[in-house]
Amino acid sequence: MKYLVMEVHPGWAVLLGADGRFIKAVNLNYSVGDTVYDILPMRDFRTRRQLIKRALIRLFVLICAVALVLLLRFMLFTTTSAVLLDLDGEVLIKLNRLDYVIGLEAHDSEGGLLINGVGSFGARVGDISAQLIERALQLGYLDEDDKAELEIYSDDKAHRNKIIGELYEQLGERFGESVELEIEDGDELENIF
Amino acid sequence: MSENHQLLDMVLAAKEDNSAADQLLYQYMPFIKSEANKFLHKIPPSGQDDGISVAMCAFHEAVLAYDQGKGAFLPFAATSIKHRMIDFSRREKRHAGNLSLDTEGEDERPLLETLDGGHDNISEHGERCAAKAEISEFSKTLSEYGLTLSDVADNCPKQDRTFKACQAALDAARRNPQLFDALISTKKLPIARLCEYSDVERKTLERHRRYLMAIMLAYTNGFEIIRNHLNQVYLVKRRSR
Repeated sequence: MKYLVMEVHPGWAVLLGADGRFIKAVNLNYSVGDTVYDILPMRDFRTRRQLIKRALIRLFVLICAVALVLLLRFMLFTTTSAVLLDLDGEVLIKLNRLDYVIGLEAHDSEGGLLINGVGSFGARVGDISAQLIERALQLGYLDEDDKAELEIYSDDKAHRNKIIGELYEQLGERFGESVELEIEDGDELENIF
Repeated sequence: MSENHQLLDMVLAAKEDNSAADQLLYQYMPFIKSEANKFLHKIPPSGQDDGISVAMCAFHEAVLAYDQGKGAFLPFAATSIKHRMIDFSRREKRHAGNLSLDTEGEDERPLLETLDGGHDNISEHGERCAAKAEISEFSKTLSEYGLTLSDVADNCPKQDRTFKACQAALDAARRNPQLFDALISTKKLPIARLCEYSDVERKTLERHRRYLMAIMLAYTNGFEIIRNHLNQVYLVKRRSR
């Protein structure tokens, strides 16, 4: 490679390579304007420091990304409470920490028919419960004499009570006298799985 | 103790300012020579030995790499010189069979002066003077844009991928001369348009803004020698495409 000497200092020089790279190298008695070939590039400590800094930033970003994924998994995809619906077909509604539905699980064949085609992910528990009750009425699993039984499972009793209150309010408003509701405090979550 | 503080202040100033670095280097020349001579095992003729040049550069590298967490400066610089000199000795050993052109011949003149290189020394001298004048002018132009050659060298992309991206941006500038006009009229790199014409990420161009400006300025009128020097590889690449 051919280099043009652009600037000289006592110990080092700035050279311009024919490929367009500016490079700092040992000044082997160069003068400005010389064309040189065999050079000794200077060690770039600042670059090494920058590389370390960049590697540390990348590591930090990676740790943050992993933490974010774990947090999202913990907040969105981990079942922290559940509602067991008995509508002459048993269905378990799994809820995440924010009380959004993350899955439905049929406990028997009638339950399988009930949840067939019901899109649940991200819905509120009251909406899905109402949808399943309506489907049970349509499919004839529930009659006027029957009760829609719901059991709430969570490790936190206060949280169970909160869900009970919300379901009574929403389902009561929606079905009024037409469906008899029985919403009970279940137990800790481990008892349902 | 106060001497150490004074040296520390000088080193810290030399990290930021090239002229302070040069001054420090001249001041510590005896130290540099003594460290270099531990490896050279001879007293070199003043200002002519590559080994001394390497040691001087190692001293400068030590200035740039030094921080207070690394202990006293002089032992740190001595280690830097030692490592550099070891590398240099190894390199020299590879060329041990070759005769240096600086070696004195029978008539006590360097071999370089006694050989007929087939060149016209007078025209070569003229070319070198012209190159020197043009580089001085280029350096002055850079300073009008707030740039120095040392800054540009520090800002030059080191990784091949980044260097290629910058070359793509410069190729785009060559194809669109209005970008040079924009640079000269605003004294700012037209980053948005360079991104648009070259499809190179804005972040890459911003990071190497000083380097790109310097090369674009070299491609403006008046820097024939620098441009021809750069065009040697550029033209070979274009022909091979």
